[in-house]
Amino acid sequence: MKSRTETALVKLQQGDQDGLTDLYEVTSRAVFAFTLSVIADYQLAEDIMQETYIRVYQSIDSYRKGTNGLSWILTIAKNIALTMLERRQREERIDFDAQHERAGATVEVPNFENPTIDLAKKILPEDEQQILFLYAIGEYKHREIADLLGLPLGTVTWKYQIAIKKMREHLKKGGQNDE
Amino acid sequence: MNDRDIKRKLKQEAEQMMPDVLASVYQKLDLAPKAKKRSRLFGIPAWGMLATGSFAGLVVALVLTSIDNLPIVSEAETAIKIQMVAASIATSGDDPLQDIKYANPDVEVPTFSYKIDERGKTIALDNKKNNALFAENEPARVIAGGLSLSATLRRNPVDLALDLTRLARQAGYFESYEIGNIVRFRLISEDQQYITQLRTQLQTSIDTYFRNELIYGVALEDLLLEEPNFGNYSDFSSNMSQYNSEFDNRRNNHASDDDRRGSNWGEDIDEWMDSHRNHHGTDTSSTSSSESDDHRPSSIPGSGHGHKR
Repeated sequence: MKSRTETALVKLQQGDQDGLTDLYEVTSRAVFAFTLSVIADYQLAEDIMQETYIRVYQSIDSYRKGTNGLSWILTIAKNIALTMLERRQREERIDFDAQHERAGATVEVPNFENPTIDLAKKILPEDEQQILFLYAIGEYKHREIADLLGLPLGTVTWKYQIAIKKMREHLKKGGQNDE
Repeated sequence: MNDRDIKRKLKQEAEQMMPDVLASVYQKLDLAPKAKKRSRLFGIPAWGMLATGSFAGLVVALVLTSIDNLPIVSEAETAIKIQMVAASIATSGDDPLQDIKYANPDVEVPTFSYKIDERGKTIALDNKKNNALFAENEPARVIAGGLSLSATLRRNPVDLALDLTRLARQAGYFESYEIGNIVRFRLISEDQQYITQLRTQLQTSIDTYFRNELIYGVALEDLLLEEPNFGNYSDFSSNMSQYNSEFDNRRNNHASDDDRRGSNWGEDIDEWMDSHRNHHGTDTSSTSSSESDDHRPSSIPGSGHGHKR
């Protein structure tokens, strides 16, 4: 049986532009969760998501029916994220003032809105973030995540357990410090 | 916090941050008309929607007015102008509120403008797309020196206003011990509902900040404040290093402003805020000028009297 993602991709491949809305509804949560694990700058997430769906539409012919559609989309998202990060770093290297600006002469504006996501990004390596975010935010099952990332199910389950344990311990420590 | 709580928190936070880019994707691909497909809610065709339109509109309007904290999106671009007016400038006459419109014209008051898109996020103003803030004068640029310009992009406008207020305070542009510090703002948009919501959020957030920091200050909407003119925008990022160090100097000079002395302040502030609110609202007879003299210290560390450049 075809997944909803594949159905939407095939619809798009057949020239039905409504497939893009279907695809967005089915996959945007996963794309966002995945993007969060790749980037440190949340503000880039919006650009990356937009560019991802544009790229999917433009290269829809290269999607091979029967393969994991979401995995294909996530690969596109990751490539776009890396390109954007690289471009931004290059611009910062060229722009001396911007470099100075970030070098410590500024006060840090704390972000109080996403403490749990911030903590995950701070203490977890990228692969653990991906698994945790896809599970908690994207609401995918471990088996689906294993398919998406091309990892054995055991590895996904194990890494998820490690990630959630680290989070728990840090939050517990933080809570104790607060007291 | 257990595993389930962690998952719930992650999901909640992500939902707040998650952008909706579908409309802009259709637009960029020049497929905009197709996006209207979404109006066929629950399989009801467009004519069916029309038939029930007025009734549904009424229901939606009733529901919307009764729900707090709706995500703020608008139907039109919005511009905001915001100024930080130190107490000695804002209250130069007998009546602190009447005089803010006529603040000493020789004193430059930090003035910022920025634009907000329909999704409720700030928009880049420069070609390099790394700055969304129009710092209209020198004091504003000094305050902006405390903020990474890239941190002005795609921000919640209320958060940005709060950051600017916080930085203005750190650089000594408010007089913590004086009664009458004002953040005045003006909102321009064709979407009046958005303006109403944004106005409330701005006032509540900035007032709360002042209260928490024990500063006699309020946020006021001032319709006489000139509209922002983005035609005058000039990119000042090439001089950022200068403003960075100037901000740091000012912050060091004014670090001692914040020693929170005065244990009875809590009540004073509440009293002053209340009188200010009454004055700004329907009760125009109430004024805090008489009590202000009683509470003012004779010497004010970090007074904003030095704003003039």
